[in-house]
Amino acid sequence: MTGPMDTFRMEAEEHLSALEDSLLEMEQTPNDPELIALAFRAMHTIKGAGGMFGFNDLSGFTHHLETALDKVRSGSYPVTPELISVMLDAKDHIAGMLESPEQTRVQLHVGQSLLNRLHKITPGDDASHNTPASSEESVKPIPKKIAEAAFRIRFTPSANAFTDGFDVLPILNELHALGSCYVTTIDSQVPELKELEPESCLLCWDIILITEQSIDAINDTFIFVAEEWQISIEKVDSNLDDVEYFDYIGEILVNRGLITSTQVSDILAAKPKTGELLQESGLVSRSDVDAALAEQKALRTVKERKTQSAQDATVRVPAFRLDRLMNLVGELVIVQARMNQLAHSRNDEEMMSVSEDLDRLTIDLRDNTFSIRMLPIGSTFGRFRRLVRDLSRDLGKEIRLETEGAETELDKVVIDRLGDPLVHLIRNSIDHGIETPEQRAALGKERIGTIHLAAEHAESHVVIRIQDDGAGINTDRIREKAKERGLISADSQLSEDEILHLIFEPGFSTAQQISDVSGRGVGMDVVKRSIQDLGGQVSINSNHGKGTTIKITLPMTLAIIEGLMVAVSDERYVLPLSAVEECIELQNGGKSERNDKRLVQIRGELVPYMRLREWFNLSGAIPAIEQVVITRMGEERFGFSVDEVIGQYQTVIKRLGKFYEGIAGIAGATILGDGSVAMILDTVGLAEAAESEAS
Amino acid sequence: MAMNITKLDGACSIRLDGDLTIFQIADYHSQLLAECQDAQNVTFDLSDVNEVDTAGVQLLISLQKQLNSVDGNLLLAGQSEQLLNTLNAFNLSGYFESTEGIS
Repeated sequence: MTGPMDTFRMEAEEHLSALEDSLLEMEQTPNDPELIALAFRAMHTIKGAGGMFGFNDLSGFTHHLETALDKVRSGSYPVTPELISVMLDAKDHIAGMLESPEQTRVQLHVGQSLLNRLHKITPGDDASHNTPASSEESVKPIPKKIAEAAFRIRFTPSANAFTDGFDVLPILNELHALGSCYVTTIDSQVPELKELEPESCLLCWDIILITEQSIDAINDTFIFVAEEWQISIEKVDSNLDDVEYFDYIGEILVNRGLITSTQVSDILAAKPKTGELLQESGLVSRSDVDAALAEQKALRTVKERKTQSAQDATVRVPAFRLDRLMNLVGELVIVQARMNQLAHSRNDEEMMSVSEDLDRLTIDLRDNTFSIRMLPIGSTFGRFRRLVRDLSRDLGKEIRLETEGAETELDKVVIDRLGDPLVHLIRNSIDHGIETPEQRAALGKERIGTIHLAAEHAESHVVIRIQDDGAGINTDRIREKAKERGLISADSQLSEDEILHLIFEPGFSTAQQISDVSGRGVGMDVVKRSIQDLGGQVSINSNHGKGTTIKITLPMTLAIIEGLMVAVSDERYVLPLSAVEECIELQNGGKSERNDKRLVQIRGELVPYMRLREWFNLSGAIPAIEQVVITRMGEERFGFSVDEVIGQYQTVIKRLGKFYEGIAGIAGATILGDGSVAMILDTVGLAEAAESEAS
Repeated sequence: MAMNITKLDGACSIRLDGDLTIFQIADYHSQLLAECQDAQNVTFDLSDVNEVDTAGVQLLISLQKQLNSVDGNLLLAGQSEQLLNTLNAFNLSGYFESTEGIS
């Protein structure tokens, strides 16, 4: 359970990133009223929430920013680059202020200087009146033509609302500020004094709010109590039919204790229905009325569903709960597999049919649970906009970031761990890739460089591409550098592509001088390792003078694996199916053995392979016909010889304990249907370990 | 910040200074229970009350209910501006009988 303070910080951080996004967008389209409104709303919410949680300095600081944004919104001040800069710096400052309600002297000083900057560019009211209208041509007051709507808000605070520090009054005041508000305080649950628990909240409220604001604005009012309180917010249709209106009047009367609900229903029951009246008068037939009633009922159901879905739009759940659920589902899948096996081995028809049903449900449950963890990758893209903007300014470059496929979904864990490698790659593009505007102009390129960040689904993978139109990579320089560092021998014959991939080697950095941005030599090898840890691959493609493309391929989730199950001796192993290219048969130990390196010939090409039996020191004789599973890692291929290939196997990965985490070549384990354990192999790690042992 | 209660012939006269909020509510509740348990009519002078929150209003409602059950009455003699604002926000400004005819 997260406390209100954490919730506040979390929400505030979300609002801050929304603010940042809209500010950055504003740089492209300064006069988009929606963006301005978005920024304003974010600032407004942060201010209000800050005040509620005793962050008075924060609330005071944001107040000035809010005022400035309000002026921008009303069109009395244009969006300028300076304004956006100040706002962005202010956003960073606010993020710092969230740490603690108390501010350090440095923070106070920074805050004040930011406000001074802001004041310079957004002069006070007097000055803004004098601003000549001509310069404001492009900025028109935003016409707000949202029709008024009525909302019925009912809420019951949790009993411990008061002691948790929540008061209803500020919420009511906020609602009053949204529009015309008709409040009914329902006291029916409040007992007489002697039975009263004075610190529990027993009141509840029924409010009709007529406002131009959206339901989101109303929801925002309850932002900090939404988890604990019972809150229902629904839009009341303007064309209320009679019966509903009656219901409502009745409810109000009951709530106020003037009549009881039985009295209302008695009266409603006594009142002849409009349909019956019409039927009696002979204007319509019985069936007409029935049809109309059915339609009415359907409409109401739709309406009910709509309001429900609005309420259930999002639920905030701590990540560890999801992890736990995931783990449980994993266990369930495993138990289900055992049951399946048992049912088959007993040849029990009845049990088999139950098991099949359970199988279907389990798989459904598993897929659903996994989908909960999926997040659009766009949430990380936001971060990069700011990075590109700030870095390109520092380096005196002009760079545009284009993003594509922000809605592509990936497991939350993958997204979280992908952030740093991507930042690194984009930094590289900005620092080494894109040239200065002068250089670009001299080369006949557009002054503004472009970094294209794209994500897309490809089969069971997600592919992320970072593409820049900068200088590209000079392979000659890499070759020299690699020789200098002893990574390759002086006479080695490497293809252009192999040379390019040398930049992923540890300790390789080509920057002529170490800059603040990149080039500290802890570059690409770390990126490569992080991507591999996520079960992904990274490759590079560069065209000297034209630009560089880095392609990252990632599995959609870390928790599940499509595997190929193989057997060696009595052991079972699972190889990730995504890496498997083909299986071949091998008779009598292969064609040739050179320097302890086993090679197998596939259609004229020699591919190295290893014997799992030898690697894991398993007993038993090598069968006359071995199976070799050929896997692909980027451009290279590597084989694993096994006794038998059992088949495709989808499974939930169990992490090995901390103690075993560092073991090369093993990615995790899974429990098989018969209760035994199979290791999931990390093909890349195994191949590397085998190669380093051989050399 | 105190609650002064004077009793006279089954009627209670209470004067409250300071705040009427969650922080004092348990105290005030036990004081009211001790002193006004049998009272039929209570006059509550709230002309100098500062902050009033939801818990405070709830206490007044409960007191009103208590008195209603014995055919008694709660009379608010004087309401501070803060109290008026609070009652207005809750749309309860007509809920309590008051010496100043507030509508």
